[in-house]
Amino acid sequence: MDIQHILERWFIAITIVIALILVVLFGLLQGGII
Amino acid sequence: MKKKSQTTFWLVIYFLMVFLPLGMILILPRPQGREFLREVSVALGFVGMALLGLQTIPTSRLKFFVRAFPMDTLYDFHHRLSIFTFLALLAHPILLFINNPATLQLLNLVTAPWRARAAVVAVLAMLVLVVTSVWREALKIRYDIWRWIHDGLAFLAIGLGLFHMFKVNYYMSMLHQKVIWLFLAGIWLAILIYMRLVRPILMLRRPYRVVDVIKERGDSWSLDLQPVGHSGMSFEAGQFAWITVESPFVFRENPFSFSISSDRDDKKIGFTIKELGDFSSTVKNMKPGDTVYVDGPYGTFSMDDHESKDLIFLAGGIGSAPVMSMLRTLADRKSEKQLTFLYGNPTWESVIYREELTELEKQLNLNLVHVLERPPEDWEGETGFINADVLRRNLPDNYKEATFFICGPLPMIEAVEAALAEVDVAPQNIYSEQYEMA
Repeated sequence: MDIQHILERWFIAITIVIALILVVLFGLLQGGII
Repeated sequence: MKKKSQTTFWLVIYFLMVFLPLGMILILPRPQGREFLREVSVALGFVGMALLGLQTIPTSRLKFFVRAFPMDTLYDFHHRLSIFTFLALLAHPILLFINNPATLQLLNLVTAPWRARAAVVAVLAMLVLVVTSVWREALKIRYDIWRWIHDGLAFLAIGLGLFHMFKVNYYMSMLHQKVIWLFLAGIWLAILIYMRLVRPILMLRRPYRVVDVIKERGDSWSLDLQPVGHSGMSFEAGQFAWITVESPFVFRENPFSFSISSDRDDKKIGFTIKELGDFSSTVKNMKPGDTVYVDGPYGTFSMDDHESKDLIFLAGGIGSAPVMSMLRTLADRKSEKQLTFLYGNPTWESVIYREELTELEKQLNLNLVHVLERPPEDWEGETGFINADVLRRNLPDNYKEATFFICGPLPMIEAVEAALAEVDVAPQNIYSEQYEMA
């Protein structure tokens, strides 16, 4: 795979990971768990 | 701005557009929290909506944006991220129902409040959007019809999603959230207006006339066009454009690579088109004088950013069109670069540009290697497909420092990239472009 397509897959993965972390963090904070 | 800086700039904007709304709620004073699952659900809704609106951008063909990214990666990015977006937005109500089963009543469109009605219709619109996009060919939906369905459903889902957020008015009660979402909605709407109204008008004002339709080998046709009443377009060899013979408002357009030299003085543009689908099969019926509308140039598949390096081209069939544009341009520039072209075709008779490539071998420092799947009996050249063994036998000694350009159908690109990895070519030296994107 060339570098541009590798980067594209990485950015999808990074987006999903950041989204999930933020979402859970938001739930923990607003749910009063942390 | 340099291309690398442009890419970084747009990636920063991208992350801001996706995560800024939720991030600001986290950073700034906010309303009282509620149950964990409910808050996770809300956060998924915020991220999902930001991603949903953002999907208008990758396929928008905005010139200043697509200059930074290869078009096929933008389409791929759009396809993959849209699935995650749909799942995030689908999980939003499901988590609410798990958290409080009484909220299932909101699915009753007769009794539900308007905010819930809007959300239900938005999710259904997205479901139809995903199904008709992923299984368009299986469902036998014509491309131009599908584009209208796609855009209509996307517009509906985004509009109703925003309506839902503003009507729920919990975190949206904060002024900064209202400002951010209205700003984002303004951007998405402006892009939709540009794509569906402004660009077709611009294309109508800049028509092209067919000046030549030339039969090539391999069921392909070269189409030469001349601008009518305007200065035409300047492109880089390796780029492509969308072409339509109907009104640009019909959206029945197809992307084709330029195949002629980018360094011509006559403003003429030219493409080589293989008979593969509905539109490409009608090219042979075009006549000199016919009007064609062209939207372009697009694509980052260009050798102009790699002036100092030797170039190695790997193409299959009609994937040779952008390579031919580069070779013709290099010939016009009297380039002395070391060039290698590994060219895969089913048969000797189907080799597009066969005779001209032999001529270019004399003009350029070009090592042309034909690789034939079904060679003639007296064939002494390479046979089969472009694999690691073919590469080892034919690449120049300094190939690890060269820039590789691959163009062809996706299976060919994947096979060639795997072969290049086998012979230790670094991914950053490889640029690829596949035929179909939509």
